[in-house]
Amino acid sequence: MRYSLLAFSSRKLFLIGSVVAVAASLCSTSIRSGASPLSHHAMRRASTSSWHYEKVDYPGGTSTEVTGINNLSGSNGPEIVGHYVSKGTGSNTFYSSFYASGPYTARTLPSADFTDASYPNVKSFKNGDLNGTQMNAITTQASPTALPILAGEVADPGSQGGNWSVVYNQGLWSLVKNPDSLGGGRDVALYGINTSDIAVGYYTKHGTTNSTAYYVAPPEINQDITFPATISSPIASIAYGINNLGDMVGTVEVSSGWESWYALCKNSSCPTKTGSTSGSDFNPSLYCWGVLKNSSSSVFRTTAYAINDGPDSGGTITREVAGSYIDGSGITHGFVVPVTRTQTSVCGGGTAFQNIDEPNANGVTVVRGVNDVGDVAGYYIDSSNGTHGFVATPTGAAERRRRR
Amino acid sequence: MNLLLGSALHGLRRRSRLAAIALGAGAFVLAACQAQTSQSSPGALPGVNTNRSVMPNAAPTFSFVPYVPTLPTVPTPDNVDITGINSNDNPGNTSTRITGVYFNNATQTSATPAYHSFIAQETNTTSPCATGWGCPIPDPSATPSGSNIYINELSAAQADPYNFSVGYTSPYGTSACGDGQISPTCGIIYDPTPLTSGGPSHIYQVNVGSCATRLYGTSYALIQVGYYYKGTNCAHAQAFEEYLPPHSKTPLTFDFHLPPSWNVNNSYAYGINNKGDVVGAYTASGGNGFQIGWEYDEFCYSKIQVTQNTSTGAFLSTQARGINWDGIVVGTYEEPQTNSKTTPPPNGFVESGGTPYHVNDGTNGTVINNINNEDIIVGYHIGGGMHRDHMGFIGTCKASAGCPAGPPPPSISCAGTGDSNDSTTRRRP
Repeated sequence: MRYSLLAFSSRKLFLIGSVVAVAASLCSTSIRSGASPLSHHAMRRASTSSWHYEKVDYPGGTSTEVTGINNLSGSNGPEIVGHYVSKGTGSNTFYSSFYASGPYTARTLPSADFTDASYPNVKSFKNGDLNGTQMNAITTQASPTALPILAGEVADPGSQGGNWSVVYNQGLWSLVKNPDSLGGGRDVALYGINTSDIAVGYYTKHGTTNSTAYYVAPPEINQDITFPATISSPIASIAYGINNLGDMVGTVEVSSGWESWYALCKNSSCPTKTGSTSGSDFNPSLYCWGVLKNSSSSVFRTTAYAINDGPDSGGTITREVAGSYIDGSGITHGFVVPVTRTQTSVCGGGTAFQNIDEPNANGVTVVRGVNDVGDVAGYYIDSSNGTHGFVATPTGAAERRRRR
Repeated sequence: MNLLLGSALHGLRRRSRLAAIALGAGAFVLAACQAQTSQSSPGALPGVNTNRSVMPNAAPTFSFVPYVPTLPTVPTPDNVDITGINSNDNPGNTSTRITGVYFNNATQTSATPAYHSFIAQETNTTSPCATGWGCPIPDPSATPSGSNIYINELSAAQADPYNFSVGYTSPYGTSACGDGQISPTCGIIYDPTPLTSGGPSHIYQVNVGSCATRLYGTSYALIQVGYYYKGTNCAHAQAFEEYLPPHSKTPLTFDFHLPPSWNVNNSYAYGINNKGDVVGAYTASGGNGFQIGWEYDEFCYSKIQVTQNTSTGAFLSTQARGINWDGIVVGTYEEPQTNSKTTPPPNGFVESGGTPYHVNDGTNGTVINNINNEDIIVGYHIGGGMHRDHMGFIGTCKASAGCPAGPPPPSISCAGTGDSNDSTTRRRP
């Protein structure tokens, strides 16, 4: 049966035309998302190729490092966490942790914006070594007025010796035991935590010196992070970051040295919250895996510290991994690099590094955190060998926020 | 004086159906659960145990030794509560110490009852105390002097023998709070370290708000837990944690935010271990004072409830009073009141493998206040005399006969984390 447009009334033609227009727009969206994920992300990154830096120095501190940044929005966001060494010598010099809220419009944050978050009753020195608390990660609370949730490590808490993982839940402190019961609580550390209170880090098994990457979910569910066959014969491993969707990053030592890995969750059930307290229930097949490679295709000398939730575009998801790497000249650069997972759960990306170098850095910039709108945080060393924290915002940030 | 057991002092009658039990007897199913989930706990015995006898190879067994402090110039007191015990695994700590409170019946009838605290140090003597655990000798230098001080627990300080102790002033003090002064509202931290100037040792007050504050637990990190009263007429109790940040002179206090689904009306924190796990009790709105035990462990709040040893398995009013490093919880529970004239006596429980076991010293009621990392329990039982005197005890277990075991890998669900991201839908395993 043949139809002629002339046979339709103008009203029907309008309706048909509207439907066609909507269908066309949907189709074009699909086409854009179906393009190469890397090129799609590269298009966005081209609009944010420069950064605005703000220095962060804890008042009275001689050395400050920012170790994490969250997604808190609004006038007080984002929040950062870090640690500092206080001025003075002897018992006055030790690591403490702080969290501070934005906005980072001043060159130096006002002292009133910092809050000390250090484990109580910890000695400044032990056996000549610096002692204290280093908090490494901060989650995003749903309520902007809620106290933060932090994860990190503390040395010799309550004179119990060793290094312990510790979490700070809105003022309440909890030590996290070494999953290896024979190892007690020693030689463990947490480096990342998400809004489900699942934290990642490493622990050292009894009788060994090698670190084992693991995650811990409340209460006391511990699972070793094991690797697929594509990462062969791991010797040691550390998990540094976890986002709110269960994706993780870290480093692993193989026969030829340390390399950075990322694991993107294929569904909504990783990491799992079931299992034993000392766990071998981790299933690497729930993730697709990748290894970061810099422009020279070298996989080494990179440390992936953090991963954000990133945008999802149709069937392909994109995350941003942040960290640091050392180039052939021995310069340490911060970086962000997109990684992807296709609809068929194939991991990709991890090669388009964008350098982040604090303008006042003298050869060392380290990025420790990245949030969902692309803000990064970390530290640098200046020409006087001073260590300063920083927060950097991509210059296209306002546009990116509107897009979200 | 704690709320659950205050009535235990008065007018209790012997339960004729209870046999005298010196060792742990019977097993009850522990419910540590969300409101919606099964009442069975991990490791619970199958079915309902209708037999209160000792379960071989299951229930922990304790030997109880009565303890009365021998105090210079003080006659033997009528009543002794052993309130706390620290652990001997701090490198700077060479012996275990206990805390306690004593009082005489004559003073209880006056308008201002007088309580006195003591701290006693373990010795190498073995008689008349249990073999392998020397009888503690009171150490007046470690004890805050004066009346109306209720010491509940002490920590292992970094420089033995200066253990900090915590507690509160009893409700019958007079002066306003201040260093060296006593008040009816103060929580206190007592530091026995002599001042370099040779002055008196320090009593630090801990007050939250303008109502009464009480401290019950402390840890190696000198993190304290307790509760304070708040609200109109100071009618509601709020569990809290307190500590001094490393380089600050201003202590910080933080409330425990129990899950909203529990409809908490009053919350109490009684014990903390060196990991930071906390136990206590709460009452729910409309619950008529019925107490429910709770535990906080690395973000996770969960209930601790002893169930009745019948086919119905109804929940019993439960207080979780202490927790050690292995996560073993001790406390008390009450059987339901069977008639309007008789208040049921308290019973002690000790967890093993995540399951509570009935542990009583005597037949008229037992309160277990604390447990240390060597699984030594302390508390008191209620005597059979007219005054129902408190008889303090120290209970030791023997590995050959059955010491309690830590909880199994967790299969409970967190009822909540108390953070703003928390919702019931996020906490399913």
